[in-house]
Amino acid sequence: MGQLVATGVDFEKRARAVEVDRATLVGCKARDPMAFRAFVLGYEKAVFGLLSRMLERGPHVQDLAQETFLRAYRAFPAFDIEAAARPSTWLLTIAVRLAVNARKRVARAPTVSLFDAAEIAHASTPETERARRELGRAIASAAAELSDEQRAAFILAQFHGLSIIEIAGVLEIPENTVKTRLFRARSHLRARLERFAKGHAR
Amino acid sequence: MTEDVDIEWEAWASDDPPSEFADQVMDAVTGVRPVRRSPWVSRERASFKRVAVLVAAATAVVSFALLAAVRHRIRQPTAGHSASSATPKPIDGPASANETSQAVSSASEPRMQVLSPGTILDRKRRDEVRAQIKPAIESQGIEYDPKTGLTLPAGSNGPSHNLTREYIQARVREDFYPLARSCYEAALQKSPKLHGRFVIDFMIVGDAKVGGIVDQVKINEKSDIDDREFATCVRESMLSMVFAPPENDGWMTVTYPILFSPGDEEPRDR
Repeated sequence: MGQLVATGVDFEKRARAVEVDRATLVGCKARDPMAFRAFVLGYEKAVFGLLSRMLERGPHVQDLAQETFLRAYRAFPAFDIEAAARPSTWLLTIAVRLAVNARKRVARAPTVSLFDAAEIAHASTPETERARRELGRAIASAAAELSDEQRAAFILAQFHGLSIIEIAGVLEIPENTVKTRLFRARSHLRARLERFAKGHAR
Repeated sequence: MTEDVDIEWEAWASDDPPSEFADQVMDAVTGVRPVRRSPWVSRERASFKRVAVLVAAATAVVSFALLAAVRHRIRQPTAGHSASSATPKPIDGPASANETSQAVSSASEPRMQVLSPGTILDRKRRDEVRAQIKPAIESQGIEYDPKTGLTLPAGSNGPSHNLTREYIQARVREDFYPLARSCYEAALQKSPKLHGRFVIDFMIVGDAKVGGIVDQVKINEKSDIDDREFATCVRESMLSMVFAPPENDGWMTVTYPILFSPGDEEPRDR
């Protein structure tokens, strides 16, 4: 939970979803409802996190998360348990593709951002919490300026602990391209957030 | 620019799955929720139980249909004309109900429909709901005119507190934002640079049997957007919202500030 450094990401130290056990995966392949429910419970937080950062937060996140798991359920018989790919990486691949497609659809409509300060009826907000929320909005706003691929690469690395090789697999691009996109994403975020970080985060 | 920047990335908030999300997914993938089997019950026994339940359900449906048919035939000779035209239909009954179910439904009282949070009311329906809520409010000695809304007397029972900040925030974000966004997009057509803040004061009133509706909406003077049409649209949108009813058929006031800014505009430091 401490402060993270925007450059020089150490992938091994990033938190990533705890993988479900082999028996659950075998059950999912056999379309066992209880096993698949355990699978959903194991990864729902990661999928919501990815989708709500790739897209904006809102009810559409739940719709897409459900679609992600539906597709996983249908594709499970073809999932190779013995292969190197972790189930979380496989699932996040489905989620990323759905998110990118959703953004392409939405891109045609005019975009309007709408923030609420969420100060409800005499509720007082601690200063630190407000500053944190402002920082969160600033990150989201700066990340919204990245291309879909740059944002996906950054989120997968920063929040889901995927390695360069895994991100290359998810986005179906060469490893060097992943490195370039990550570098550009971080450079952009660093430039946009530097002033903000000095004023608020320290 | 080579200097490292310390950023607490976790401040970038994300949505959390609702507690029932896994069950919703299971409903979608299998059509039914999985039943947690006891480890002591074998698959064969579970299948046998499933068949037994299906047989029992089928028997019940057939018995119910026979009973309804018998009742229908008993009524027919005494009516003197078509039984279906003589049978009162429930006010809120399903439009596609067949004759048998109409005959059965006629024996029951028309039910008052409880509004579920997330419903968006049009003006006509809102006035109907206000009229339904009136008796509950007035039973507490509070004057209530469905046309003008609630008049709070000094020394009334006081506000309810069962609707949490998180609940209201979630409802506003899920139900009100799409409406407010439409209002804003319409306003941007006229004034492309329009941005600023509306501080909305609103009151939720309700009745456990009906639901909670927004009774009064006021654009607070702390708002800094000067666009009458936009304000009216936001106000009307808020009036169409449905919440869970405040406890004890009570009321609750909320102040909710919302910032509107065109999508690509950066928040600026002053």
